Amino acid sequence: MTDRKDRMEFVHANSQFHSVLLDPNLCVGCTTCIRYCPTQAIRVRDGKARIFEERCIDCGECIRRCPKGAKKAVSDPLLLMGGYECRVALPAPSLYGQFGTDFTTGEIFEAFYSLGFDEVFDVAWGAVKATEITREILKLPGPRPRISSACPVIVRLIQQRFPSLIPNLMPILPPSEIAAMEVRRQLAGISGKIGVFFISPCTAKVTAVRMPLGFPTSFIDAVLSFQDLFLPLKKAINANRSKPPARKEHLLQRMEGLEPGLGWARSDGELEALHIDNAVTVDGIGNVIELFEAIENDAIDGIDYIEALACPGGCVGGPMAVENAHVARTTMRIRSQSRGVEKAEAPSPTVPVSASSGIGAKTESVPAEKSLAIYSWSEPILPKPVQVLDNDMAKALMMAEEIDILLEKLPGIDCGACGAPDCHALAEDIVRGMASFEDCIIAARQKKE
Amino acid sequence: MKFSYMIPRLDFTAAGKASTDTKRRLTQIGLPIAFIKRVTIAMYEAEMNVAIHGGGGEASVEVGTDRITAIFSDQGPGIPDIDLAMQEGYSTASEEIRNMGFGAGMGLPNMKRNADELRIDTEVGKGTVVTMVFHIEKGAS
Repeated sequence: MTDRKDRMEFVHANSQFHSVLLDPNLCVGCTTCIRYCPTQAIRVRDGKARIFEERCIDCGECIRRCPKGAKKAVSDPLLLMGGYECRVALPAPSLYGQFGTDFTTGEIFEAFYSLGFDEVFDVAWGAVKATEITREILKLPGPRPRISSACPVIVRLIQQRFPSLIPNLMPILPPSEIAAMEVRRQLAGISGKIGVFFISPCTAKVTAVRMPLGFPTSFIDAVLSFQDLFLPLKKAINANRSKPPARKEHLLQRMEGLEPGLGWARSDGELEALHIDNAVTVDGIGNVIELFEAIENDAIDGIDYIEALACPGGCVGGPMAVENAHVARTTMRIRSQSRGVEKAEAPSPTVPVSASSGIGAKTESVPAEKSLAIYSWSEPILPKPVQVLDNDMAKALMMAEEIDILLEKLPGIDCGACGAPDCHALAEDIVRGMASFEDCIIAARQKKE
Repeated sequence: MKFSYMIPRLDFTAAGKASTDTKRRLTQIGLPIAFIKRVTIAMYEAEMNVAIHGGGGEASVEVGTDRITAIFSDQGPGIPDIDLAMQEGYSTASEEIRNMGFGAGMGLPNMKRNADELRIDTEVGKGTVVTMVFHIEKGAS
């Protein structure tokens, strides 16, 4: 989708990358997106939506809600593959949900080879690893409930809206990074430049690879979207079905036993893999916010772990997914539970996950305690206090009082016509000097009468 | 800055509104995270007490540069024995309330733990006023 970049106006200021962009030619300024943005990061100005970059957490909710298709997901272009000698595809577990169960994972693997990837490695392996580490961490004392950090939107949401929950985040790399790290470990000996391509439905991952959370640099070189790869993969599968490709030797082998990791594609999958009591799954960013509010009130007892996913249904509901999220969810349930799908046909050989995969002496599996050290965060996650009105508390307090006074004068119907999501946001914008009272058309009309 | 909330009787969907809204306000003012957490937890407990035991009531909050004062008042049955009520695990909540996951007898102890000052003025048959004060440390934000 990035080929649109040059044709599209960047509405974000350039200091920070975001994978959610607006196409001003399609935006009609209808204010739908501003109401659904969970961080109130969008305003309509001069008839077009504008995103405040410091507030945007790349959740993609506006992409999902925009009735005009004016919000775009920006991922990396396929042509980046040209810059590497050894191209590794890292399919997110949810990729397999884009294809019905009449397509085997083996066929999808083969299709990647046909598209010019030299190696394929399942992110599901990283999810299996993350499950092991999570189990280890939950044995240790520490804040409860622990919150999964696999979804980058959740981490950014907590930084911004729930900073008191930062210590509750699982301090480990997400499955995609764990998998990418493993790929680099296994391919360490080869000559030629290795390019690791994460195949993802997630806008926030595009950003997270550029600006990782909890570690300095990503092990992934580029994020390719399901949208860009779905048709090429499907075509390749069909071509391979009518004319089976010549078998090539690959350094990384397909693994068996990744079903629990594949389950991570949908909400509940992480908990099903973990097998722990007292855990909760929550999906959809509005539901996540509601639960986190309750946790901050200390209103929820006895929960050890929360699998929180920003997209409805989990990663299968990602903004760059192709298949209907509900259909994909069901497909993933089947794929992560039954192995009947894979038994029917096995176009490429597999090895058990316990034996790990790959080449030579590097294949011994790493014990869980050691994994903890390898895959833990190396940098702290810091709060992002974008809501603070002023760094001087006395001044901020005065501004808060002004907001209350303004709110009494505003109609309180949250119509959005001023371009802010609700009356409170307008009052805040006015106090911050970013809007004026006259922006409220209802108040202006009352004045006239 | 002063603001107040109505706390409806036994309305569990509205429960937590006062503490959640106060949290948002305090976040905007830029108070330290740990401090906001204390206020939020103590206010939530007080709010639930008013909703469950007090038959509904009111919360009023005053934010100054050095302190936050939160006053919860109700016209409920009052507390006959405050010392007993302050004991962890002691609760007069009905079986029904307990079945809903409330009434574990941690409310008042939790408020005492999180507030810097806690005052309870209560009269049996008339109602209860709970006053909590939280001191804002200088240069803490």
